[in-house]
Formats: sequence, C-alpha cells, structure tokens
Amino acid sequence: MSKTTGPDTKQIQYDRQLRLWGDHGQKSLEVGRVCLIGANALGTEILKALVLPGLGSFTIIDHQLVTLADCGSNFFVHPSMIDQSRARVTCDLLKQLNPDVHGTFVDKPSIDDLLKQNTFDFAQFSVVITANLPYNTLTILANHLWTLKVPLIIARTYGFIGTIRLQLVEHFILEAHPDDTIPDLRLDRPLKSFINHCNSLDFDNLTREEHLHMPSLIILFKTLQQWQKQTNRTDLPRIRKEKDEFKQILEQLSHHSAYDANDINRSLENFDEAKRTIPSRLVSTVIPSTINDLFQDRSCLELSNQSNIFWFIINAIKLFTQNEGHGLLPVRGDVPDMITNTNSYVKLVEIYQEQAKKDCDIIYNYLIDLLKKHNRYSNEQATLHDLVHIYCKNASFLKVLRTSSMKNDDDLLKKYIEQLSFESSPDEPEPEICWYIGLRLCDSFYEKFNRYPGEFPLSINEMDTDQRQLEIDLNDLKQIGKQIINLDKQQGAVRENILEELTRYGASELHSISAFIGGCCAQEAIKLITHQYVPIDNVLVYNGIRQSTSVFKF
Amino acid sequence: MATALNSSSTMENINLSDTSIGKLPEESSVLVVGAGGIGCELLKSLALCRFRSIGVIDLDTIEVSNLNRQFLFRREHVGQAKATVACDSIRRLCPSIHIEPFHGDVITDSRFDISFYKQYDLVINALDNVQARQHVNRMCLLCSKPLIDSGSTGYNGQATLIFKGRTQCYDCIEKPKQQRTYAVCTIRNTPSQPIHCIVWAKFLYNQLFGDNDDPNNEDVTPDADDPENAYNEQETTTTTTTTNGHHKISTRDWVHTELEEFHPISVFNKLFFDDINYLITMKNLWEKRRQPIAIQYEQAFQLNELHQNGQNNHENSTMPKLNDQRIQSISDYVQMFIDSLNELKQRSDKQRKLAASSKEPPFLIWDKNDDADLRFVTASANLRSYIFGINLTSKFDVKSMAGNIIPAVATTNAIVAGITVLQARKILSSLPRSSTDHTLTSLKQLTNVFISTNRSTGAIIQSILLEEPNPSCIQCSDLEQPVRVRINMSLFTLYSLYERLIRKHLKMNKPDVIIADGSGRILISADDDEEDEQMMLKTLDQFKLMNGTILLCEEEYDDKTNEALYQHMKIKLMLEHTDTITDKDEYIIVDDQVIGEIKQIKQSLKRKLSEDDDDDDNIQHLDDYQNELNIVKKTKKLSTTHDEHNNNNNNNNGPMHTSFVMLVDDPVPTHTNGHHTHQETSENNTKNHIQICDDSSTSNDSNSCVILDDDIQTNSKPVNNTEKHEIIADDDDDDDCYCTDITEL
Repeated sequence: MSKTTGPDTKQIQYDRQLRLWGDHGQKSLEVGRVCLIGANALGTEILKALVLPGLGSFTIIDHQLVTLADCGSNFFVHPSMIDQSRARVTCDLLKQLNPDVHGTFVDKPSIDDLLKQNTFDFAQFSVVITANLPYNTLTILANHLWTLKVPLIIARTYGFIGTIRLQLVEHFILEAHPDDTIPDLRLDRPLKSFINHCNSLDFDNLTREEHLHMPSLIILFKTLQQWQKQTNRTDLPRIRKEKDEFKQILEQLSHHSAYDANDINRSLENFDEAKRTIPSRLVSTVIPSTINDLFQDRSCLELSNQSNIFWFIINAIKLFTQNEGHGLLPVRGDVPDMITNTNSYVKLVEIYQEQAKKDCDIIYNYLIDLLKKHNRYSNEQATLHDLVHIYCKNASFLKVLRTSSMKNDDDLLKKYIEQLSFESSPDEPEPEICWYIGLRLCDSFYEKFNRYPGEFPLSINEMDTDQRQLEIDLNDLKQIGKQIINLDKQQGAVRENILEELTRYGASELHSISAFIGGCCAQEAIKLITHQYVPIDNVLVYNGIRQSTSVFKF
Repeated sequence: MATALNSSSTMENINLSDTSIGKLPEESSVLVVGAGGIGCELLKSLALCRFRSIGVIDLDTIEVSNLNRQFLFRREHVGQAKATVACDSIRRLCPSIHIEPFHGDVITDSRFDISFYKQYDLVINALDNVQARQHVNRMCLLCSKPLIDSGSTGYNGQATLIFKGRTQCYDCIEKPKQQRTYAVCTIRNTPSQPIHCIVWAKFLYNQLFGDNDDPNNEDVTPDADDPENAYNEQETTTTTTTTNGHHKISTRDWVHTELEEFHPISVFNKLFFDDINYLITMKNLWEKRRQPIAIQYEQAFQLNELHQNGQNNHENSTMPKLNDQRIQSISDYVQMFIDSLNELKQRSDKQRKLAASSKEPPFLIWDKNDDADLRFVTASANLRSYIFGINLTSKFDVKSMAGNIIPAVATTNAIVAGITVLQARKILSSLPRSSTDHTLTSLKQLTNVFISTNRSTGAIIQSILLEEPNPSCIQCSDLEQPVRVRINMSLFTLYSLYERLIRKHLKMNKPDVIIADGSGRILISADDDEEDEQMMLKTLDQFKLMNGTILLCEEEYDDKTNEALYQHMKIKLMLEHTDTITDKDEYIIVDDQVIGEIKQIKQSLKRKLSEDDDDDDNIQHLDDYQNELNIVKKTKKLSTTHDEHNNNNNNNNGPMHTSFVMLVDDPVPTHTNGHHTHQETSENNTKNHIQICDDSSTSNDSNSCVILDDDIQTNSKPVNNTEKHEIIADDDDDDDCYCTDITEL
C-alpha cells in the first residue's frame, strides 16, 4: 500500500512537524546537542521525544546500573539488562528510534565526580537537562552552567507531582509564533511605492472588470485618502462618527456606473472584504513597548565584542528605526490573502516585499558596520543575511527571556512563603507552589538522610513497621520544615497533608507523570534549540491528582 | 450543570498502594482504538502502569511519515499493520502482558460488535477522524462502557471522559460541519480560490482513475445548468451541442468513449482548452468575473518564463526553500501533468489487471503520500488556477490542502498519553472492584483535560469540569434508544428498508429517513412523490451506509391527509451488518434493551387496555405477534411526543407481517420464530468507505453542494487562539480522516 517514491525519506519522515517549525527550525534541531543527566524513566521519556523529531545528538550521563525497579517504569530497559550500565543500554535503545541521531554516554565517573574534576566540557551543549537529580549535585551543576551560559532544564517527577524549572541566563526568542497578529500594512504610514501605485489607479474611471478586482487594501486606502481630504486630517478615523463617515465613503466607492439597477444589490466581494477588514487594517503603526524595552536594555546599550549576535542585530534595527525607518520597525512584507485577481495581488506583494527587502538590506549594512566596529566581522555573510531576514520578519515579537540563577531559589521561595501565609486559607485547595515548597523540604531531607522521606525497602509482611517508619519520616520532614521555613508560623505555606502525601510517595516515579513531564520538557528543549515559540517562564508545577499546571517566576 | 470538584477528597481517592478502592490496572482490561501517534504512547504507558490486558484496533499500515513520533515502529516496519507491529514491540519489552492486535476497521468490521466491547472495562479512543470516534462513542453508550477520547493537533491535545448518562457524550455538542462544501458551480465553472482548483483536481483524479460506483465521484466538466447562466442557456446549448457535443457527458465517459487511444495531450487539451472555451461561451458567468483563458498544450509549453510567479520572485530568495515549497513555472506544471498522468494511467491499467485475479479494487485511491498522485493534483490544480487567474500553490501546500495534513509531533502525543493513562487509572479507581456493573461510583475527581504547549503563559493544561449530558442528544439520551436491525447490507435494498421495515413493520406512514451522523443528510425524503426506482433497488452498501449507522425516521404532522395519529413520530434505527443473512429481504430486530423494556410496556398495556394477562413476568411466553406489536408500540411510545395517540393505531394496518422478522436477544437468541438460528461470524468482507452518500433526490438540483472528499480542507495550520478546544485528530495518515478543525466547545 505504501508507495514511497519521490522526495527523500527525511522530508517525508519529518513532514508533520515541519509544518510547525519549518525547515530552518528542523535544521536548528538537527545541529542541536543535548546532555541528559539521569537515564531514569523521566530522562528517557525526554530523550525519546527529542530523538524522534530528529535532534542532532545526545549525551547521557549516568553512572548507575539497571535495577529491577527501572524495568517497572522505564520503557528503555529490560529485565535481561539488570546490572548493566544504565547509560549504555538506554543510549543503544534510544539510538534505534532514529538512525539519524547521534548518541553517546558517560557512565564513569559519576556526575558528582565529573563536576569535581571540572574537565568535562558542558559548553558544547545547546541544552543540559537533568532528570530527578539530587539537589546538592544540581546546585553545583546549575552554578557551573550559569557561568557557561548554557541553558539548563531541571525536570522532576515525584509521585503524582511533576516540576520543570528553566535556568536561562539569556534566551532569545526569534520567532514567537504569536496566536494572532495584525498584518503589517501601514495604511496610516503608507509606503511611498504603495501611494504611487494607488495614485496610478484612476478610481473614477475604472472599467467594470478593474472595479471588480480592486484589492480591498487599495479600496481602504482610497477611502482613507478621501476621508482625510474631507476632514482635513492626516490620521485614522477613531471615534464612532468618524468611522461612520469612513464607511459612507467606502459605500460610495462601491458604486460603479457600469452596473445596471439590478446589480446594485448584488454584493461585491472585494468591497465586503474591505468593510470586514477595517478593524485589522485601520490600525496605527508603532513600535511595540516590548521592543522599545529591548532598545533600552543594558545589553543593547553596552554593546561589546562579547555581545551575542542578537544584541548586534537589535542595535542595527534600532539604528534603522532612528534613521530610515522614521520611527518604525522594518516592513514585515507579508500580505494577507485578498479577493482579487493574481496580477493585482502580485503587484501588492511586490510593493511590500520590495520594501521589506530594502529595509532588511539597510539593517544588514548597519549590522556589518557594527560588527566591524567591534572586531566581530567574519565572512559568513550569506547566513547572516538569512538571519537578519528572520529578525526583520519577526521584529515586533522579538523577546529575551532571563531567569534567576538556581542559587537564589531559596530566597525567592521565602518570598512566596511569606505571600502564602497572607493569602491562602486552609479551606481552599492548596496553591500549586505549596508542592514546590514541599519538594524543597524533601530535598533537605535527602541531604540529611541520603534518601527521600518514605523511601525505604518495604517489608512485605510487616505493614506496621512500614507504617511506623512512614510516621518517623513524616516527623523528620516536619522538623526540617520548621528549621528551614519556620513552618509553625507559616501555616499557609506548607500543609500537613502535602507533607504526608509526599512522604507516602517515597520519591516513586509514576510512568504517566514521567510521560507528561517528559513531553513538556522535550517541548521546552525544542523551543530553546530552535529559538521558536515562547518557553515556560520559568517554573512549571504539574499536579496529577487534580490534572492542573501552574507557572511561577523564579 | 457541572459536577462539583471536591478537592479535599481527591487525595484519598487516588492511591499509590494496593489498598486503593476500585479496580487495579492489573485486574482490568482496556481497549485502545488506534495505534498511531497517541496510540503508541498510550500502549507504552499502559504497559508500564501495569495494565495487563489490552486490545488494540487499527486499520492502518505504517508509513514513513509516522516515524517522527510513532516510536513503536521502525523504518523496516513500513507497510506492515500498525496494530500488529505495535503489539509485538510492546510484548518484546513486557513479555508478561496480554496484548491482542486487531487489524481492521473499527466501524465496518463485524468482529467489533457489542459483545466485543463488553469484554473490556474501559475504552480509549486514540483516533484521527470524527466518524470512527462517533462510532466508538455509540458502541460505548450502547454497552455503558466508560470511554476516554484522546486527540492531538500540533501543540494542542485533549483527553475527555465520556460515560453514559453521567457526562456529555461525543455527540452531545454538535460538531461544526467538518467537511467544507463548495457549490458545484464554483468547482466546475467559476473557481476563485486555490482550494477550488485543488478540489477540482481531486475530482478529476477520481473521474480518470477512481471508483466508478462511488456516488461522490463528481464530474469536472463545465456545468451548463449553472443558475447564473440561466437566461441565455438556450442560445448556448444550441451552439454547443453541434460543435462541442462532448461537454454533455462526464469526463470519465469522454475518456472511455470519445478517446480511441489514451493520450495525455488530448486529455490536456480537453480539460484546459475545449472545456474552458465552452465555459467562456456561458457569457453571464463572466460579466462580473475575470474570464478564464484557455490554453492549448503546444502553447502552454512555451510558458516557461516565470510569468505568473510574482509570489515566488519576491519571496526573499536568500531564504533556502525546498523544492516542494517552490512555485514552479507553467511549463513545469504542464510537464508534471503529462508525466504524472502517464504514470497513473499505467498504474491504473495494472491495477485493473490485478483486480481481475485478486481482491484488489479495480481503481486507484488518491493518496497524499504518493508522489505521482500528489504531482497530478498539484499540476492540474495549478494549470486551472493559471487559467482562472488564481494564485498558484506549491506542492507542499497542495499536500496540506488536499491531504488534510495535520501537524503532529512526538512531544504533544507523549503529554496527551500521559494524561490519558492517568485519566484511565482514575476511572478504574472509581469502578467497583468486584462487580461487573460498570457504574462509576464517583466522578468527583474526574475532569476533561485540554492541553496546549505553545502558550506564552506556559499553563500547559486546563482541567474542565465534566458537563451533564445534553438531554436532547440524539446518541445518548435514553428517550431515544435505537431499534437495532441486523441485515446484510450487500443484499438488503433501500426498498426493503423503507417499504418493508419502516413503513410496514414499524408502521410509519411516510417518514423522512435521515442519516444521523451529524451531517443530517437525507436518505429518503418524504416530499419526493415519485421515488427513483433504480435507486430504491440499490442495496444499502451502495449508499455507503455502514455497520452501526443510525437512521432517524421522522414523520411530521400533515393536516391535509389528516394523519394526526402519527404526528411527529420519530424512530431511530441502528443498522448492523451480518453476512449470515442470505435472504435479501430478511431482517432481524435485535435489541436487548427492547426486550428488557417489554415488561414495562406490558405493564402499561395492561393498565391501558385493561387486559387480564397472567404471565406478567416472563416475556418468553409471549407469542411473536404480541411481542412485535409491543416493540412497535414501545418504540412509538418512546418517540412520540403525544402519548395518547399511539395505542390503537396498529389496528388499522391489519396483522403484522412476520415472515421475515424475528427477535433475538443479543448475543444469544432467546426465542425464534422458527426460521433461523442466529449466529455470529467474524468475517466481514464489505469494507466500506466511511462516507455516506448524498441521495440522488438532491443531485439534479444544480445548486446542490458537493460533499467533499473526506480529506480536503483548506486550512491545515494549527489554530492557536482558542482557549479550550476539542481536537479531532491525532494523526493524519488516514485518508478517511476528514476533519481537523479545532473547534471551540
């Protein structure tokens, strides 16, 4: 049945996702390098969702051996592999998912030793992901990566709770893919070539054919011109009365002498479209405040030899807006579909694309000057031009994402705890942040006892012993809570039932929670690698009991 | 309306330990319908969450474009059955699991009857099309099984819960029209958008190579009955019948009768020169439109400059574009047309030869993943676009538009599957552990979950409280239980359905018969005075009715004929196919619910008719006549809004016709009238396309709409701006899949 002729299999294999992030997104992914620390169920789920879409390469760091417990929750190990290196067996099986992906592993020394020796090159990775890494090791790693400016995704599952935390010194979002965008057509600040084109059309003496195929954008502009003349204004109609006047002129323009009396009632699709699109076409063109913020950003103002190319291009765009752009961003160049014939549409596309190309070239030249000035210029002109093109097309949506460093987490957590003790009442369901706080207490428990609360081998015949041990653990956990966050006073922040529940979990890994967090985490990694879409900013807590997620800023 | 969520009790209800209330995964069995993107993830997660008994249904075979997310498959599996390979992969990693593949169509395969569903505790949909979802929904409602409906599109997904009588069912909220419909005239005479030309090109493919018996096989020649053309029609017809007589026949017939030897250039000139010239003669059409420009092969080949390609030239040329995403020159499309036409012609001839000696169909089915098929549609659509002055479309985009391609990525599927399995565990934990009575004891902690991972706010999931069922839902409201009729679809005629079953047996006068699949298409119209005899003698499978189709027979009050007795009577019929019936007029009414309710009706009969009947409990002792009468009355009673009318009206029609009727309890017959012993077979060789045809009563109306082939839609981009939405598809590789729109609930 399946006939695989024609285009190469790679294009077919990735067809469905190319429609989400495009060829250039796929190319970025294919040179992406991911480091995973922890080849447990969560870790392999993350990598699986990165290997399938065609990640460039991955490296697994894990010194543990496969245990029977792994076989219960991890799809990529098998009872026959018990006592083998977990990094090796999972690496092998993951590579089988997609022969295009490179995979390596480090099973010796352990991550702790790697960090101590400080010889392993973490800077080679686009993203480092940790899966259920103990807190102590995590903080050392996080600090290390912070100085290297390597993005870190911290993934965790704990019973029915899952969390993701992003640590990003600076992440640049080039293509945000906003849900809905208003096309950049600038009727209030029309392009010169657009005005010339419109003026070349003699609206009073159109043939019937021409009238029928007049693009709605030009109709709107003609209407605006007449309205401005009539009212002696230079801006857009704003209040109701002005808009009504505008619509009246539009109505007049829709009449044509060539139509007989019967025709008048017949609707003209292009004029209907003009009326329909008034709200999205008659908008004032300005620089969004987020972009102005970028222009005022310290990294933008203090451009140096070490600055990221992002800031060079932002600077170039800024220069453009101050000069040739006359206070506006470069023209995006896209023209939405319109009811018209091909020639008229193509003409419009030409006008906007030509201007977009000109703007893009000017910015490119500014960029080259800036790079030369800071001794950063090399001969990669071709790729640089493509990059500038992407920036120009997305100029209104460019964004930089910064998070705090892991080492500030406890301070930030305390702020949340203080807030909670004011805001929450015990009758309401606990806010999701409480689970995050609870997990931090479990980490402290681990530091003290070298195991998580409730994590001990179950004695099959002596339920009572287990129960007693659970109670002891819960008590210890509460004690830790008292020491760290003054639990007695801050009742609202961490409730007893949460600590009980966390103790009961005993750091167990539930596969369906790992599948969820694994998918989310891989999605975030793809966002970071492709610089497309907006990542979580920056802590996600998933509550499997209630099927809910919340996001917190750290 | 919504069930309250009691959050304080949630934690007690879900428990990691064995002491949890309700069923454990180890002791329950789950049916997964669909082994595609979400299906693969689901099977893995179910296996690792200790589900030990799983059934998997999938119709498809593995394709290369599945491999970016369906991780149970590898390149070497391409071409094999998804269900089988998926089960093998799971078994290899979890040898102790009992997992059973079913390679077949969940809708038409007779293996999947009510008793099949009854084996499972829970059903999970991981499907990519509405019709299969509606079918499974129906089956789960019939046997009161909990159903989880999962789906994904791009970055969005959902896992919703359906439980009869407790939550909304899949059909409680009407789905917006999934098929985009275009007026016949727009497609055949006056296209104005690229999609019109693409639709036309797919019709053309079917005209040349497709299924001749498919009633949806639309003609592509100019349509002289265009109402816009009305006032000078006379003039045009007289001129054209003499010069261009072949415009009166379909393209298919033209190819078969007029062409002595198949020659691609002749086909080209007919389609793009003769037909267009004929269209130009329909002058009224072009008063307000740009007139098309006919092109001849010889001249078209000269169009090798990028005449039309403003779009292409001015797309920033420094951006690398793959070949498929480029718009080519007209001469390229001419070449592409000729080449693909030749290739397909050869393939078509081969297929016909193959069909003579095997079960293969004697025609080709358009497949978006096939390069020749795609090139043919791309070339034809773009040549037509050029003629009508419409923007050209790249092959990549034609594939999206013609093939109903839904973006899909591994990450979203993993997320949806993780949530779905958790939902499954929650449902199980609220099922009573030992009993076979699958009534949920508590829905408190259950919610519908919607997912979108591309939101800038980062809130990935949204839990929505379960909604009460819609009391007027045609599928799940108890008031309107369907009468289940078992027939042989390939023998039973429309005449038998209408005259024998509906009019004689069910005592309806002259109802409209409507196909209750959400489309509201009319199978038989009451207004049609003279029925087309040809049509009435067709068997039901020729109308592409399928196993599980529900027909709604509805009568309206008619004051002229004074038939107040029947006013507003509705009966629902559910058709079930069986091969065991070999008589063309035979049908069997199967309904365990009906049997169960006969007691009640008998009670009410007793009161109403003041009968003195001794055996009030055992319906087995009722004679067949009484039995049938009761069913008829019962169905009428259930569906008549004015109860008082329905008690005596059967008397007018004399004794019941019983010779071909019997009642059986499902699945084991409890009593027969001596004609048959009913047996189930697992083989079903009528593998129907899941589309239901429009009836010919509307087809002579030139303004009627063309129902598009399932898999066309104009917009394949993921829609991101709806906050909560239902996703219909999780996968795109089913050519029968016909919808992708993400719809706001």
